[in-house]
Amino acid sequence: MDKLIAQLKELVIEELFLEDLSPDDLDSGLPLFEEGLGLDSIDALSLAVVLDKEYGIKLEDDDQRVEVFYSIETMARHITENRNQDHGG
Amino acid sequence: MPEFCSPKKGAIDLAVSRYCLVRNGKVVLNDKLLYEEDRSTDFPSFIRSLYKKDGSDYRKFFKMDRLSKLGFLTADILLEKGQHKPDLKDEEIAIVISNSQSSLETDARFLETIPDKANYFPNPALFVYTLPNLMVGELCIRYRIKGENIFFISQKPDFDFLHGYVTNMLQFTAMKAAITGWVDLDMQLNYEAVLFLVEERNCSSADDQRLPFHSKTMEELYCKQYMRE
Repeated sequence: MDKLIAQLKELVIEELFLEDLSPDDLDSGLPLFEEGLGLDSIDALSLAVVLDKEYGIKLEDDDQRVEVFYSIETMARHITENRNQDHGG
Repeated sequence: MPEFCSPKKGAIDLAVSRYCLVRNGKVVLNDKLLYEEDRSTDFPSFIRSLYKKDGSDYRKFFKMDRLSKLGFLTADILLEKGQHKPDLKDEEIAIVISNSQSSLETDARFLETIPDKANYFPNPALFVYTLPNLMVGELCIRYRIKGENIFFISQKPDFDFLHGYVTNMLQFTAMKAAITGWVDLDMQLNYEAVLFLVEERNCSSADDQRLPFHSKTMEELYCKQYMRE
């Protein structure tokens, strides 16, 4: 799980073009939206693309997206539980 | 002249309350050099340092594109994190900005995310910034500005035009103050920004020490020689 969290931090920074942040700046429990990192619904779309592209996971609806994208940690947990075998599960 | 274009009052007297200039690693606020880095410092490093120096701790800064970061920090310094936001209704403050490159730097980076039809994943986080108006939007969000806003493209700063447009806006609409200027970032990451806070004079010109709002004033401030060294 630690390796996955480290990978997710890199991906979030890369895909959202957060070039002024390093993985060390991202606490895995930090809320990604609103009061935390200040991401918004457009960024959620980018994260959904990451989940699909890197892990073969498609999210069902907005409620699921809110839950999964709460933090890096919740993303890692969801990926661990649902990763597509073709994407190295 | 149509009724809706009737002047609000007689001729209005406008002043430049504050200005901020960012160029060649230097940041000047109201004629005072606030911050300086070596002019060879690349833009991402410069803007990162400037954000820390500004101390605004605005988390949304990190997700902005480079043009928005430049505009945001120039405005944040101009308004001193909102302390100098005009004491008006949010709907009475306008933003009128221009540049020569539009959002081209971001547009090009977005294009890089869709190079291959077989591996097609357009990046929404970058796509959303492929219009320079988004930079204005970031200022509106930060300072809760809800007045008129517009973004113009010109080859170089046209202070005659900006002066005329802002003056007409403050004369003929409900706007009572404006942030106006030039925020530009090219594909080689050369950057420059100058923003002026324009407000109506409420007292006699003799008592008001602020600079008059003329295109010549803006031109002179923009062309400050020491900023070009």
